[in-house]
Amino acid sequence: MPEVKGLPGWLEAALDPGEGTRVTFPDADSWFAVPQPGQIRAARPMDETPEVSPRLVVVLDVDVAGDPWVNALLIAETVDVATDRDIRLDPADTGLPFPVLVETDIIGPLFVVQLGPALATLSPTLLQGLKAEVYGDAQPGFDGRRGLPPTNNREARWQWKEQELAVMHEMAYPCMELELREDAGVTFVDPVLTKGIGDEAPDDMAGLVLRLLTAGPEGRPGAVAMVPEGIRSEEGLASWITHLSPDLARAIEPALTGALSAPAVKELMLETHWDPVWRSEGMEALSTAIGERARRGLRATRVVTRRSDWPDIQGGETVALYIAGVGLVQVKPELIETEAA
Amino acid sequence: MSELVSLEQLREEYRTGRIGRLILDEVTRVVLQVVRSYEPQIYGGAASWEDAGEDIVQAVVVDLLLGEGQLDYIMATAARMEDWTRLLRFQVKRYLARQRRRSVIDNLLDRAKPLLGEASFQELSSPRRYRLADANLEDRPATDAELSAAARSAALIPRTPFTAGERAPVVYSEANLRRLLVAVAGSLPVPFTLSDLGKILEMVLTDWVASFLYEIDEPQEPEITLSPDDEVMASYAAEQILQRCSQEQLLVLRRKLENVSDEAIARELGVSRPTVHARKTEAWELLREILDGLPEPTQSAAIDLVSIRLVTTPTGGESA
Repeated sequence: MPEVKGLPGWLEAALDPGEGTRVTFPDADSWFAVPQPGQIRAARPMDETPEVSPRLVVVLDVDVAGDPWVNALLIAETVDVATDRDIRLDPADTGLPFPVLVETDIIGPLFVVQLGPALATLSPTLLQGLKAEVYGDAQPGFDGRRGLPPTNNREARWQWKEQELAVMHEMAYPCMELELREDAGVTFVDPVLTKGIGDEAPDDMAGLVLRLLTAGPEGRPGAVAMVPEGIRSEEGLASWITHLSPDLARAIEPALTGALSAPAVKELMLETHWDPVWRSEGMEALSTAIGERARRGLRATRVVTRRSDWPDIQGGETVALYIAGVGLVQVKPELIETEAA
Repeated sequence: MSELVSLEQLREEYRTGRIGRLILDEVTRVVLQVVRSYEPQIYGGAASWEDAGEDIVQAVVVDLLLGEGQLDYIMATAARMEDWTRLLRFQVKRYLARQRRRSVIDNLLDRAKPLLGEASFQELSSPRRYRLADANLEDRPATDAELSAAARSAALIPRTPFTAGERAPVVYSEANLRRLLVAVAGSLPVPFTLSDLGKILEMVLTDWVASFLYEIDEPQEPEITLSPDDEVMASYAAEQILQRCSQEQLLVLRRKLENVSDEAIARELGVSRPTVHARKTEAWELLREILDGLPEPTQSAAIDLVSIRLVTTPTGGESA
């Protein structure tokens, strides 16, 4: 058979002419939209960990109120090793070009920023069935889609399951840890909001700062921090505070002096990369402050910033900040109304 | 040159035509790397990989990457070239594992045919099916759920672990292969075909596939030979269990050995879950009482004998 374009005849015969890509690549989106329950997406670890590659997951639940996160089920890399806790979904069920094996016993929390674009969405019926399976309520409708149970802990599939647990743990531990850390619930103020604070500050600057300090993440009032590098660059700040009314000065001085007295972090010289690029001029100072926290294990943060810089987001979307030597940090813009700069 | 191929180049080729020269060359390179670790006679059906390698490349591309959408899976998941290569290697191993499992199963089916001609079985025609002699069964194909249930029973029959390099693994001794056929026939409410038996064996051998793919050594249990006295004690203990448990307790015991949930057992028996739990507790108490004081190998042997008897008798408690 004559070869066309240098390909063997058997391959030419197997290919559909003109058919190109059938899936989206895991890093295609540069804007991490809010995921929906039932979606199948690729998930990547937060750390720079070559041993753990991206894996497909099913999104079970979504919570965007604080630091956006999802509850997700791991999908096995092959349908050939199913246990009785694994449910096979075929292309007719998902619309994907390949079957998947959903591991209803491997579940974990992931940050939204870890997820790639949506590849498929399960029907509500399928999703409810999988949720019931997670709680051990075997669904008769899934008979014929599951494998045999391992009979003892020496079996290969038992050990494979332990490996899968380790994979999910590697993916999920930054999100799990954040819930346990007392220093986790801090929201930064985008330095662009306090630009000009000091002797030449606009009349409403004090009121704005007060609003920022009391904005707080939902459920955690008061945990708002100024970016040290953003405050230190403002001249006449101390003099400006003394000209405020006593009540205002009392209210805002602790936060401002707290930022001023924080150790300088410029010398960290972190290599960072935003995806997508942070839209305000405070980007560099934010990178440093967020990077310093990430090096201490805090991998998600929120930033109060101008709504006018983010007209296209609905709420709950996230931005990724990559820090060399650490990995990803999830950054969520918390929008505040101000006059446009 | 293949070491210089980037993921972006592969993605571009995938975008425009799915598989072109770059991807084909990568598949060829990875296939020839992976197969080198395996015997060409066993996994390639040829004297050398020079003869069989191209066939494997073609099969991996046509059957797995295109036919089962695994190229799309790799593209949906790989974020770095290392991911791509690792996933491709995994696909090659999947192909080899399936081929190997298929040949092992074909061998078992060949060995099963003369056993199915014995007096305890009956052959039906159009299509050719088998059942226990004089069994009164529905005349229809088995459902997936019924085959799965039969596989759970079959999984209790002892088998001999085999390694990737074994040329002609036995898997089941003749006696145990016969027991497996009885267990399958007794579990199914319908006659079964050789194709059904093949599917059941595929499910039973899933663990071997996992050990091959993930390079997990199957446990090579040291052969424990019981003394004649211990064999007698194990046999006596097994008989005690089978005689003293009620039929309902034996059925619950069998289903728990098959790892069936309490809820599913309740549905099968038409009783409540608390009732299943009560029968289970009663059965465990009896086992504990009968096996207490026996050495652990003797206890295990007794349980194995009980398992085999339960899955190879119609009601699970009478002699086969």
